[in-house]
Amino acid sequence: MSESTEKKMVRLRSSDGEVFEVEESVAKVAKTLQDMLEEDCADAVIPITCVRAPILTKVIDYCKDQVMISSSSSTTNNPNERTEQERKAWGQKFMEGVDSSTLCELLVASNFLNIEGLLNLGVDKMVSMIQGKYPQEIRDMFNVVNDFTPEEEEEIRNQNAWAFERDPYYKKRSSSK
Amino acid sequence: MERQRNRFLVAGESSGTIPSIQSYLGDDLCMEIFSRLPLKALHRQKCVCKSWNRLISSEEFQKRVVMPLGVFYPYQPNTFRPESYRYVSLADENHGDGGIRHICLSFVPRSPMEMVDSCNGLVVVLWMDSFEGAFAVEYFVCNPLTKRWVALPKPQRWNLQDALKLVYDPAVSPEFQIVHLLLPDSWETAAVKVEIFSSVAGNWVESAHPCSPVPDGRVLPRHEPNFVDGIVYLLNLPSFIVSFNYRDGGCHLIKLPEVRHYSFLRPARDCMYYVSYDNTQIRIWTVEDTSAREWTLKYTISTATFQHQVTMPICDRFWDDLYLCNFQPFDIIPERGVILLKSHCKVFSCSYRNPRLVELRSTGECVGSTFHGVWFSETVFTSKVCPKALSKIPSWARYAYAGEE
Repeated sequence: MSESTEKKMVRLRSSDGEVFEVEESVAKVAKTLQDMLEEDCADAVIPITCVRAPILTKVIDYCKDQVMISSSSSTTNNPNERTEQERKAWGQKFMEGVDSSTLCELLVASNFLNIEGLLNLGVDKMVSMIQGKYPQEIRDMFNVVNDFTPEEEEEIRNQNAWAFERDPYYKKRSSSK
Repeated sequence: MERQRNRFLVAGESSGTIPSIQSYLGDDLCMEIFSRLPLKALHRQKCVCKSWNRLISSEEFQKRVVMPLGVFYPYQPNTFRPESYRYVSLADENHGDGGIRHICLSFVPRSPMEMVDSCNGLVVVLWMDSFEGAFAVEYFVCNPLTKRWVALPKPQRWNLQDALKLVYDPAVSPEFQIVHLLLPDSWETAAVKVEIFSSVAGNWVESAHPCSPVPDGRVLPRHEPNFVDGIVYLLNLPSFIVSFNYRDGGCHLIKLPEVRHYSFLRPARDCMYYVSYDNTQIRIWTVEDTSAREWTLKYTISTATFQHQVTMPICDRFWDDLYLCNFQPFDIIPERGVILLKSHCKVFSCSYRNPRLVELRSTGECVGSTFHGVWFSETVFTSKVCPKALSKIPSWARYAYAGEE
């Protein structure tokens, strides 16, 4: 909550032309922007060509939160500091309701802007979406076209039959002769 | 190698005519996602489309998820708990550590337990308990990567000094065998009886061919039997190796090049390695044709050079004086040209052409650090990890578990 230093603002333009004004510290969460700002090669408005406005909003939300956590000094008791558990819960909440296409865009954005924390959250979310699903559900979710012939698919399925078994299961042997 | 990998990536990109999630995210992000999936989910996704299948099967990705080789060792000696085993990867610049997730044995259902053998991704553990003077024994075969395990039927006979050798090669067959070498009733008879378990039949069968020729000294079944191409090799100390074909009972003796108290044997497909060591020197002998019996002293490594390469805590140095060999070699990997050594709570690899110690670090949370001045004497196992191992629970399993990874 320190307001002593004057806040330098940075303007970011999304691919669909919307301009966002954020504090420099917020923009600097993104390593790519940090490098640009430090090398002073940033224009008045930084174009972020591959990220649409709704996605950029989400990215900025994330960055703001990161700044809030790290703002007050890290050594003294920080009311905003989170335990591992809280961080997890926060991450889950942040990613709640994100659908697969938004998630893809978010991943690309955080990869491009080089925001490691957000990328991690996104990948974890993606993993949790894929994890319990069968190939057809995955295809539906990500609009992937199945380019296998039925025979080819059958073959791969047979090669990996163990991966399609239900689990976990606990098995008792029928008594031996 | 590098060039090949690039070619793969280019081919992968150009062939995807339909804009898929993979072309949108890029191979790198996809691999990051795939590498965090549990193995089972991962292998299911091979069926999604050709490009996913290609990516998951690619050499580059396999390197990222499946670690080729690593070492299991008890990091808390004498505790005999599943949790006290650690796995360290054998990372090197050519193979990388594959970024594998934490591997441990903590899923093993019984404790106390002891790791008995490992082979190409499968591990045998022994649970042993005494109840009113009688021993209860149970063997489990486990895959630490997929956390699957099966309980084996009880062997017909059992003794603490027996040796067990797991024979499993996923490249050849999904089935495994266990060769159980039974301690002779007396040293005079000196024939080592053999019981074999086959995962096809699901039972133990005593081999009609015991392992018999023991001219002097004695066969120590417990002294890590080695296995390659259907032949079991045993050290018949002090001066011989017994090679024993457990299928037809064929037995041969191979004379050792030198007699030293500390030694081990590593038969490879093309060549036999014999490593002997004391507190100053490690010697690596090879013989290419075991019938020719002409050993060559290939490398000599002075352990004195190691002392300067690693700083040990002071308490450990104290124990050095008491213990014969501070750096104790336990395995040799000819394909990589390295010898593996243990020293207190640490595991090292060392190129024998250019002796430099490289510490192997656990991919898990910690390697035992607070040691109470005990060197770990239990057997250390070098093993590959393999997702295919134990992919089906066999019908003979007394009970079994296929865990969610």
